[in-house]
Amino acid sequence: MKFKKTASILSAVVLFVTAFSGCGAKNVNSDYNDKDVKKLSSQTVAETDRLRLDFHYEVLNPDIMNKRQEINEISVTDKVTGKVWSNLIKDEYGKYKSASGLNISVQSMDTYQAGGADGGTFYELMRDKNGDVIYDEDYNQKFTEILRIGSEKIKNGVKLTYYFMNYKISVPVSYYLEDDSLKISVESSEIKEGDPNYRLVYVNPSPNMFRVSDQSEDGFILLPVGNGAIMETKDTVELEKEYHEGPSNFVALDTGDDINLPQTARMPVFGLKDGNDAMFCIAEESSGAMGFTATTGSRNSDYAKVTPNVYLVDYDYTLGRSKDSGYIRQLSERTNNRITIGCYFLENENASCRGMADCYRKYLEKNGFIQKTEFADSPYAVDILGGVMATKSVLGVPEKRLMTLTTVNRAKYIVEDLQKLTSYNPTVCLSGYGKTGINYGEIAGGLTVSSKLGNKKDIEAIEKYASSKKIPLFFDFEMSKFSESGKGFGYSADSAKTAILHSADKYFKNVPLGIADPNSEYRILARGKQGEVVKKVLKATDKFGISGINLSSLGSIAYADYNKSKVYSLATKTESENRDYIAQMRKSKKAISGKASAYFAAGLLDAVFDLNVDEDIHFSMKNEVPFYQMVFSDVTPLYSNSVNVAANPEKVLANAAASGMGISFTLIDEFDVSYMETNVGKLYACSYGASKDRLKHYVDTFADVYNATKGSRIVDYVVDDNNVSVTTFENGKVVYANHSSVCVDTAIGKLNGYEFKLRGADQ
Amino acid sequence: MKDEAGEDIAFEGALGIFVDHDKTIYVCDTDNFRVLIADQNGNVSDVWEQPDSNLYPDDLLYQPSKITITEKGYTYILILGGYYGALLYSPEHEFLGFYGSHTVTASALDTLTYLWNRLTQTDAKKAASAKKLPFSFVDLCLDSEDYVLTCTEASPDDPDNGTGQIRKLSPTGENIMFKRQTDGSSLSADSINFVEQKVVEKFGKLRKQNIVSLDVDENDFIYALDSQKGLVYVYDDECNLLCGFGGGYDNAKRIGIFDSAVALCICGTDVLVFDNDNKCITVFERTEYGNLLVQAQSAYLDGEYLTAKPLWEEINRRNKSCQLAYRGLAIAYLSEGKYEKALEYAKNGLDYTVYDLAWKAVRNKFILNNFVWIFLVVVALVGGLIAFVIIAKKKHLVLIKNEYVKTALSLPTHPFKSFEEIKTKNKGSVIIALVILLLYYLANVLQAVGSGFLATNVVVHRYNTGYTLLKTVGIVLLWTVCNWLISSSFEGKGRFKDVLIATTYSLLPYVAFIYIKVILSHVLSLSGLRILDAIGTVVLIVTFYILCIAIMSAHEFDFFRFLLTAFVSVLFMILVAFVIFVVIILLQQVGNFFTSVFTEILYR
Repeated sequence: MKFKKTASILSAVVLFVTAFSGCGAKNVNSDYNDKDVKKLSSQTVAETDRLRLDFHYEVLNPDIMNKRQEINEISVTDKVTGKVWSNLIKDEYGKYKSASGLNISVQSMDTYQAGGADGGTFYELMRDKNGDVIYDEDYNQKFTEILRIGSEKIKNGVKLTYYFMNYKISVPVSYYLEDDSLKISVESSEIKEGDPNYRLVYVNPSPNMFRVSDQSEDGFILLPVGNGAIMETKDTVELEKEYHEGPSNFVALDTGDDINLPQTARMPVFGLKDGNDAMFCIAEESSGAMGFTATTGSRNSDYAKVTPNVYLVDYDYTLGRSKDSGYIRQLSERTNNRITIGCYFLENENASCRGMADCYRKYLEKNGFIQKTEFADSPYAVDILGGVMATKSVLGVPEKRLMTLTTVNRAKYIVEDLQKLTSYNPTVCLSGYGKTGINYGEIAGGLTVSSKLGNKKDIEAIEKYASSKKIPLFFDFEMSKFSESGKGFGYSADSAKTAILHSADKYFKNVPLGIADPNSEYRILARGKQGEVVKKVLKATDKFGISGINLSSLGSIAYADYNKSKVYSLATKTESENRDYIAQMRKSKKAISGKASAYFAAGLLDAVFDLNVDEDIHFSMKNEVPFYQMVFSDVTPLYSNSVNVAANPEKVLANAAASGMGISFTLIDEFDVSYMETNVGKLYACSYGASKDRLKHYVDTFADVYNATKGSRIVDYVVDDNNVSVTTFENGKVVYANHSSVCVDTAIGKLNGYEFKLRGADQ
Repeated sequence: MKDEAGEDIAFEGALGIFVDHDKTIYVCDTDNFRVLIADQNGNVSDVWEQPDSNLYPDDLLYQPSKITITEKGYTYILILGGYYGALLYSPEHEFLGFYGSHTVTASALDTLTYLWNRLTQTDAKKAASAKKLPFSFVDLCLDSEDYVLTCTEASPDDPDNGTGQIRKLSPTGENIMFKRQTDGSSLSADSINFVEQKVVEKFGKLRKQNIVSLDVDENDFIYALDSQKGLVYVYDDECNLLCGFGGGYDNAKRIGIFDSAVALCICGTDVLVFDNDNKCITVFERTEYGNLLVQAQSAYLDGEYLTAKPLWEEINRRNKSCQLAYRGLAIAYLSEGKYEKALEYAKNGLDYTVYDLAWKAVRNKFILNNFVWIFLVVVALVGGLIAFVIIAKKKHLVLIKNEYVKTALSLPTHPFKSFEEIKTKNKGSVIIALVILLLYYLANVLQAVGSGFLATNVVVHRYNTGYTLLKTVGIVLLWTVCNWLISSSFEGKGRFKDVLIATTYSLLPYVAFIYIKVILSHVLSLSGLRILDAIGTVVLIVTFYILCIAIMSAHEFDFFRFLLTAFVSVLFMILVAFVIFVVIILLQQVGNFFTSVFTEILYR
């Protein structure tokens, strides 16, 4: 009886704690203080050979109620060109226009805390004192009574602290010069939140600094969408365009995928060109937490601009919807990471995509992200698929089982045949040779090669052959996505957690329909467990004698994980951890490749597969630019995503030739009609027997251009009105590619639809 | 556009435009209740307004939304929200009336509800009640022979995406589009769903698909635009889906998918789609593969199977998943007399008609080549059987000595006598009953997974014997229990064992028939199988007849009492099934509750 009573009390306590613990978690600093605000007078706060950083303080209309306006302007002057980049906007008479020095995003917690389903309104910015929601307004001008700005001198710069008095939130933003670059930095640990009813979600440091006049003739914004894309900034008021991108590949942050972004940014950068000047910005710290909004042709301003949003807390959509149709978001604890955006200033011919690529390249080299490796280079790569999970009826009972697509022995035959057929060595990736084939199952395919697909002897044979012919060969291991427990990794226990500590369930998404396939749920391995997988992958590959490893996971560039929120929140440390894993594999003398790899992997790999070259472009973009290729093309062999030999491969070939990349094909040994029900899009049109003639044709068409440009950097890339791109390589070779289906005249004669031609350095 | 005086004419909110072969432009100026007719330079030469005709109803606001004109000059105009059909004008612009309206379909329940409301409602209520109106067309176009094709939006009354969204109208306004099924039969387009089967739920609301625009290309292939998902569906004129593309689901910013697709137009082989939110027109060019597919399917529909063959071969080489290619190749091989190949491809393409024809040819060829042997074997078998029967009669041979088995096997031919013996002489056996039940279950499994291709449409790899177990053994046992319980309360004499034996023994002819059918399904053609199905119906009737006798005999009921108990038993079965269903759901919910509590504890 006593036991029963104790048990029931304990159960009640557990249920109570379960139901209510963690709800409305707060991160309130009691030391918020807007009384003793320091003020700095106007002065030059820092100067280098190239740049000068000025702070300007002024009070306009000091005695007129509601018109009093405090000016706290930060401006950086490029002494080479005289161009001034300012965080506030002036009109043609030099009068300050409405502009904010810092935007923040606040969530009201009051209604949520009451537990009502209608609560938790998420304000994009703030409310004014009358309770009206305001968007993109100037706190400096209109709401001085609710905003104070403190300023103080720091080393090589100035620190502005914005006190949002209604919400008792203060955010310090530092501006300082370092090595001819401007750093804009927010030290999250110094942010104060004094009201438990309001939580800070993200900040837009200096939202008006990154702007270009919409009168600038050839002005543009470079965005890291896909391989890189351009938004034109010339005044097009009737065509106001906006592009929004969330934090890069934040897999645990947001369980709802955006179907607009089949391929998220691989580089945390953006650039702006204005006349002969350009600014190139890199999220140097907390890059995994940065998203941005780019706007051109705005009716409300004379500028096109990029607004970087840096998230300070994670949130979850899971709690339902508010009455104004907005989502109620449950917020995590605030991260205390430092946020830094580095701004680099370019002029004349460097004020271009190429100049920005050079700038980024230098940054990556300086920080050890590029390490040139000597590796056999080939005009084409093949991704040979091992197996696929399909439903089969066993004695009338349906059962999912691994169906063979290509055994290791058949893969060897295909590679041998390809070599004879095309007279080039292909770069080879063997995918889906684990327990569940190309479908997600245990982590890293169960760290084995399925006995159905091959044994150690078979692998040794193909490895030996590849080694003798100097064919780059990689076995693919998916180190982050999994859908089954096994090999010491639990599906529930070891998956990455969202802000409210739920496992981040992910689904394959049907892009046209925009819906998730509930039969394809998978999870992401907790960040803390990745090191363990790397060790196990190395051990497994040693056991099978595998010399090359392809890590699909390196394509997922950053993900938050709240298993250890202090360590991994908002995708911190991804770069350094992945670099460590790559170094660890290098020590084991393994060749390494990755799929659609992020910036911190691309320069360190032996090959990068699956780079998107389809015209998968956003409406707001003028065209794509091979910015990623401009940065990495002479460091690592780069290969396009698989050419669809059934449809219009010429288009992909033209794009690849213009980007200085190799092409790739997905192959299986033979097709069986029973695969139709597997719903694996990859199996479309990739039967080797049926497609080898076309494959040979495309490789032959492509090889000359590739061989002439391989290992050479792209130094210029221009697209004309006829949609013909002209790519100039460092070795003097120029590739003309027609990206349209109609025949057009070019400087080197007529180009048929999707045709590409090479012009040598001597021509 | 300018009027005769050179003044600008505004036509904001215009919803339709048409350019005829003389390059005259017709604009449906919807908000201004008129159609503007202008030359290429935009000079308006004529304005059509609401027709002055008794045929035009007073309650219909003249807001033209779409217009199309035939080669002969007949004009069709759609009116916004009008459910009378399209306005038809003669080449002389004389209003001829309405054309091709939908009709309201009403179920028996609708009629009863209507009558009930008429009897019970007050005049005020009657006036306020909503009338069920036919759906209005939202777009129309003409094919190469000037037939009118229309599309209709989804009905709010339908629980799903509905059917018959696309129609092709005869001069009398009837839908003449049909789909040729793979088993040779035809299905009216009114019963075909031209969009996805499943309605997607988003933000707690069902998002039904709406075909809002359509056009045809030079091959009369139909391109239909769904505004909900932004998908473009391409159908041939026999309602075969060739492909679907686009998409975006009101959240699209990438080129090639749509935020708010509202109109579609064919320009040569290009497909133009207008996205209202993104303010752009996306032009889709046909790929090389697309050209192949269109050419091949056109030739296939024209009956030029051999012309289409190389095209299908190329398509099959490029895309092994294309079912149309398997069908095209199957019929091409059939035309060439390569029946084995035709069988292989027809099977992959699930084309029952071609498979049947090829199979008949293969079978006839086999019979012709081996006629002597087959004849001799049949004669020997029949002769042997007759001889055996004569000898057995003369020598009084007893093949089956077990009385229980004998009784069971004699049941189909002597049901009264057999059940009498079971009842009075206790010649029924539970073991035999269970064996029959097992055989019944196995017969059903075998029928699903072991029948010939023509006799099965079950996707074998998804077939689950568990469901068959429920459908066979489960139902027999449920019937046995329910009938036993109900009959007991109606003073039935039968025990549980008696009801089980009666029910299972009655199934014997049907079980035997299934096994015979499975064997014959590997030999017979479609026509043979249809005869077999007819025989199957007769066998089923016989089985029910035997079941009646069996149950009457087991409980010693007269026919009416049997009918009454059988009816109540069936009701009781439904009730029991419902209770089981509810219990399962409850258990599932309890399970989910504990799982979520466990998960929460795990997460905290």
